[in-house]
Amino acid sequence: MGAFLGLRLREKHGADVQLERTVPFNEFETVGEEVRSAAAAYENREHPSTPYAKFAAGTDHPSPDALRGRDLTEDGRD
Amino acid sequence: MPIVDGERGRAFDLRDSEYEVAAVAAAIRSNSDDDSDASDDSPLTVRCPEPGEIHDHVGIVEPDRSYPLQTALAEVAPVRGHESSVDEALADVREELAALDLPSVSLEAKRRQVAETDDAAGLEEQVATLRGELEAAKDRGEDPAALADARERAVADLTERRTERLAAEQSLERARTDAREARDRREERLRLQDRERNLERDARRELAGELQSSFERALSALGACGSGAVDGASDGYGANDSDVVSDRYGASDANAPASVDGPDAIGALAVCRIAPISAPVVVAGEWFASATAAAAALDAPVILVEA
Repeated sequence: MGAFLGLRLREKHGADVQLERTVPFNEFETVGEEVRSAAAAYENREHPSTPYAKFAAGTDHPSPDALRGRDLTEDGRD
Repeated sequence: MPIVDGERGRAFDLRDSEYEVAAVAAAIRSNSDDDSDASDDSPLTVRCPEPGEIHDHVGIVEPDRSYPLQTALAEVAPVRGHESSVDEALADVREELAALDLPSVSLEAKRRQVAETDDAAGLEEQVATLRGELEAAKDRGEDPAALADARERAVADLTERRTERLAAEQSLERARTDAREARDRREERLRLQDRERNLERDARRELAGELQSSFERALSALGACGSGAVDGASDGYGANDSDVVSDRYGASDANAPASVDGPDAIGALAVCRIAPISAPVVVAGEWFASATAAAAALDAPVILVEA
């Protein structure tokens, strides 16, 4: 069904439509431990309004810059 | 400890006492099962049957309070033998909801398992190396037995690893399918809950509508037999003047003035009159000249208190 709908869009809009298949994500295969624990810690933060940059500052959690542009491959594992 | 004993009368007048509405209402609610318990924290004891849902809605009548008249009437209707056309559909929906099994699926452990059953790249390499060494040994005319054994063990290890990995992947895939199904069922539950609420509303409207004329008769009867504020109220609640009634209630449907909740203590009194109520109705305000008159007008046990 998804393929059918995607193809209809591609038929209608040609190259303006990019179709990609997604695959289930396994964080234990593709993401390092520090990213996993940072995400868990941030979701359990005390004040919901704390932005991540501020939350990560002065801790062992990676900064937003360090997180940006990382490869999500199996090599990403520690 | 003063006692209002429901077994010894139906009409009690506490207007000259210090007891306020809240205290009397609390005493009625806490009376039922355990006298010793109630006497600890309540200044007053009321001996009476346990108040039901109708009493919860309209059993404490104070002048400036709004009452869920439609809800109350809808609860009175089945007691008086009325049924709504959606009762069966409602029962079906509730049954479906009760039967809906919502498994909680956690995929985290499965994902971790897949990641931990390594895809054995190292072992593959080892097998390839051993094969090379084995052939080199043969070429050199050495005894290959030890190397052959090592290679066989490595191949066996590799096979085992691959099997484990495959099993873990399949297990994760099954769990993902289950999780998808569980999400679908939660969606189904939302849909059913929505339908249940709609049906409940329909049933309420319909059942309250069944008692419409009884309700109006009760209003006019109260207007006729009461005194003070009830006299005044009868102007607004004349039984045959549904325009006036709906204006007063702001109802959109002239057939169902009770469908709107407003500052309608008199409406609450009317519901009490047509409802079978066994716990005493607490009435604050100058609606009735005496407790006896109130009990007669409401056809229920009554306790009058100061407003």
